[in-house]
Amino acid sequence: MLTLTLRLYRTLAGAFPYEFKNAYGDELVQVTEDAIEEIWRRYGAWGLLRLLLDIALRIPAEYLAELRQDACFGLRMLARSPGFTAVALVSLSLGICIATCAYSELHGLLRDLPGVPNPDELVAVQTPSSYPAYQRYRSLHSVFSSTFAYVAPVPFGVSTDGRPQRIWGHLVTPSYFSTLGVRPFIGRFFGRAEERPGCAPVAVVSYRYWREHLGSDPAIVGKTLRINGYPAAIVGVAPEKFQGASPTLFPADLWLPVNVDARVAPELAGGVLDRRDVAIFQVAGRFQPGVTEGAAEAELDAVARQFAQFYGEDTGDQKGRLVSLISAGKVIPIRKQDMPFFRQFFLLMGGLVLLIACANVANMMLARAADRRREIAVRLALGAGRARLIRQLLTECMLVALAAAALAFPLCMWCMRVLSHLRMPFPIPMEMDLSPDWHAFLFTLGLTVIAGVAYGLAPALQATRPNLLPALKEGGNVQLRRFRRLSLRNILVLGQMAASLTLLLLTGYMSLGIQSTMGVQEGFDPRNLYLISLDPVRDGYSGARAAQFLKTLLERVERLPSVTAACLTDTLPVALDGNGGVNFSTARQQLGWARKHVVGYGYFRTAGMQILAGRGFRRDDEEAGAHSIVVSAEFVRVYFGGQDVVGQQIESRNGGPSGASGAWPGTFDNRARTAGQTRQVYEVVGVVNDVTEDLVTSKKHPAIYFPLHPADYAQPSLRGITLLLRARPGVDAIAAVRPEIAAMDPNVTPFNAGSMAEHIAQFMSALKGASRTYGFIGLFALILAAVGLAGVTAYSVAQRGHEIGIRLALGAQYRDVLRLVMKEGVVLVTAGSAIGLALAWFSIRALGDVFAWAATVKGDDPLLLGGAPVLLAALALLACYIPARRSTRIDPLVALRQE
Amino acid sequence: MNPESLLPLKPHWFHVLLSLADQEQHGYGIMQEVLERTGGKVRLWPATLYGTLKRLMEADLIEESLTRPAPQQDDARRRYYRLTRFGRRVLAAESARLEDLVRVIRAKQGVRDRKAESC
Repeated sequence: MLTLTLRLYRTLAGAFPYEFKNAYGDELVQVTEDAIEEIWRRYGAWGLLRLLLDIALRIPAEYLAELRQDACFGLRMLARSPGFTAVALVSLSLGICIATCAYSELHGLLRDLPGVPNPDELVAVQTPSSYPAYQRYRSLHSVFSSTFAYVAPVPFGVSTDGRPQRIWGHLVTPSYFSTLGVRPFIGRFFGRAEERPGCAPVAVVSYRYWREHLGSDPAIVGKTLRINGYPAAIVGVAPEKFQGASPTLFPADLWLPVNVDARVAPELAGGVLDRRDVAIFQVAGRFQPGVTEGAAEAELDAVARQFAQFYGEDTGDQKGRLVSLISAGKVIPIRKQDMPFFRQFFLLMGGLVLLIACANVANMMLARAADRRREIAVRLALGAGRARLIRQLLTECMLVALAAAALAFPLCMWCMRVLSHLRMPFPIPMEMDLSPDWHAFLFTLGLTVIAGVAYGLAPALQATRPNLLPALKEGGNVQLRRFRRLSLRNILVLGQMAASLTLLLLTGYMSLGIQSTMGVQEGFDPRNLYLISLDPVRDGYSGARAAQFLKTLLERVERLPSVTAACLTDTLPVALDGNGGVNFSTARQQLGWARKHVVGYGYFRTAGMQILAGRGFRRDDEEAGAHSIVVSAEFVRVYFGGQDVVGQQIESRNGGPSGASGAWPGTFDNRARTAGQTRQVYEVVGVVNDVTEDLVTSKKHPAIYFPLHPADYAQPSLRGITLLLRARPGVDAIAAVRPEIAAMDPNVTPFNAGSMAEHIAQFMSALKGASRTYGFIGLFALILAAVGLAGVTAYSVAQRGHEIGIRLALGAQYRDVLRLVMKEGVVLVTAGSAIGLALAWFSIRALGDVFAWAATVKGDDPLLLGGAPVLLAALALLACYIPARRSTRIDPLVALRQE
Repeated sequence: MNPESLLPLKPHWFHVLLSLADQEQHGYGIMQEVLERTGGKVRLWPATLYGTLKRLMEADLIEESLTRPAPQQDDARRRYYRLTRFGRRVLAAESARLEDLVRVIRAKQGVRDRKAESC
């Protein structure tokens, strides 16, 4: 028993830190050997156990004490070189911040739907379907355990306490909530009662809406809201944070059943539940256990083909699947096969930035290690273990990395909060919750550890090389290393300079490109222009009454003394959500595509556009059956070679979804998704000048202007009908118009009111954000490049101290020495700049097509091509000069005595 | 350094310093002395003892003694420890503090009475 305990005790004693073991190990074991019999006699087995416990607890305590000692020493060393510490802190915290931001963004975008159990089982059909098609999919019980369909986004005019507001929501099948698996916070969701067509108008509200607009009323169930002018009873409140099945693209605050009366929801007008040609329903379902996506897609595809064949539609020419599935359990709809790409892209980007930062600090550490060689050599010679010294150097690195993380995490929180609250210029509020959570915190912590080890290990290994003799000699470095040779360090710095310049030029190019396009709107006059949107249909009006209301309002507004011109319009001159498009054929059987604008009488005069030929719209063009259109100058140039087009006819090919970019929420036009519409022949009555409606000034699109027809009043786009006003300078037209609207009907909800300048500013806010981001990354590159060079120069000075001393003793002037040292830096800067310029030139060329929308700044912009290298070189030379100046402080006497 | 800044001493530290107050000792000797002095109530287990010795050396309260006992009593493997001048001042300061404490305790009527009752 005693022998066994002793053996165990000796083994444990071997686990103490080296220093402790060295000083007290033998004695400790000896004392135990002497005392063990007495302990056994006095306490028995309990005493032996206590003996072992004593040493087992002491070992980690000794390690901790050593760590504390290392940390204290490290802090002292760091405090001794505040410049290094500050720059390392900045580099690393920026690196960690950017990497954590990238991670948070990824995590925020790929989050599961909040409050939804087993989100992996949820899938959605990628393109909207018709209701009859949904009914077919629903019957696939072998694939889905349950399914639902919904229309989104749907605006509702809701009044609480007499104040009308425009709220976004979904029209849903009763199975919507049960399939998602959410439970009501109060009351109930939709059930059997809502499965009958023409059911009583009932609504479920979101937790957020209940709190912000209904005063968190616990007895809210049974109370009525006026929705689109009709009373609807609230049956339940959704759980907290639940904003519907697509919370990022179509956040919902209100849910109504699809079987509700079409007067309450104009989207349902015309019997859409029975029409197979109106594909406005998003379909989603929950898989049966064990069903794979591929098998499900195949089954759905078979159903879709059967369905089409049943109605005599030819699907033979459509290759591939008619139906493709996407994941519906995430906050943004995303295809499963795209998920790894997203992950890798973000992690690669974040990792790369961190890698650059780490490489940089490692470079500086190498320089610093050169300064500390003597200290380290002395400690090695005095018997310190190499592992022990490496541990000590790594502790220092970890300290810097931890401090950097402490700075980076709040910075990242702030960045992500700003990004989450950035209001995107879409008519529908898009919502993103990107705030970092504990995942991100863990990620940061992990990154910090990796960063600390990554940048500390190589320099620590190098610094503790057991080659003591030269270091111990007073000369520091006796081998005169020629700096000029192509060492790994030089290549690193060269690469870094080149990469930094490339990054700087690219980001500068993007940033300048964006800035130069901002605020430049051509083709119309945004000054003194105001807009206010209305959607009377959502306030309980029928289509005809809505048209009448708006026309009367327009007449009243035109009579206002502060208003010089006014019109009603569906589309606006500037909209990031991209006005939709239209396919057409000309009389010469030429096929074409053009932007589609739907504008009212007086639009061109109000917007300040010029009629180049023919005429603008007249009142009679707005009547049903009129087929006048106005085209843009670019349209004439592209499709008619600049000839006179007034009187020419064109045939619109479809009313189908042909938007410029269907990915943007604003381009969802539920009206336009009617397939197989009859073709229409239109006559061109006029030509107007081009308007830059995109992000850039240089790019022009052909455009066709259609007049507002009565049908457009009955079912306007998601933007509603906009009243466009030109006011006298200095007059706030909105303030003058609001009373007019209220006087006609206080229940009509005006929204999106403001000046054109505000509208454009909001439109540009996303671009400004992008511009600032690029600027930030460019700045990061600049700092890193400067830091890298400073590190290398300092290293060089430290290494060549002896040589410099000899030179000084032999009569060299300080100026000569400075020149000698700086020369290395200059060579590196020049070579790096040349490579960087070439790289940037090719990159801009290559990216030019991709970023055509921002390409108003040409690749050879002198400000960039001249300015960026000069700026970088100036900074780099400064970074070179500061450490190089240290060479002039070398005392030749000291340097020579060092032999 | 002001001895007061280390007060109150950790009990282990105090016991080790006290056992070195009148003589130089090796580790095993300190352990035995403390055990006897406290009637077996306080045992400094070996690893704890050497951890304490290390801290006391670092704090400059004790040092290794270079004088060895007579050769027939000497065990070459053992190291002897003694108080430094600073260690002695710290021990004195701690003893004074404890004496003060005891004086206060004695002055408190209730404590003495209860002690008397228990006797």
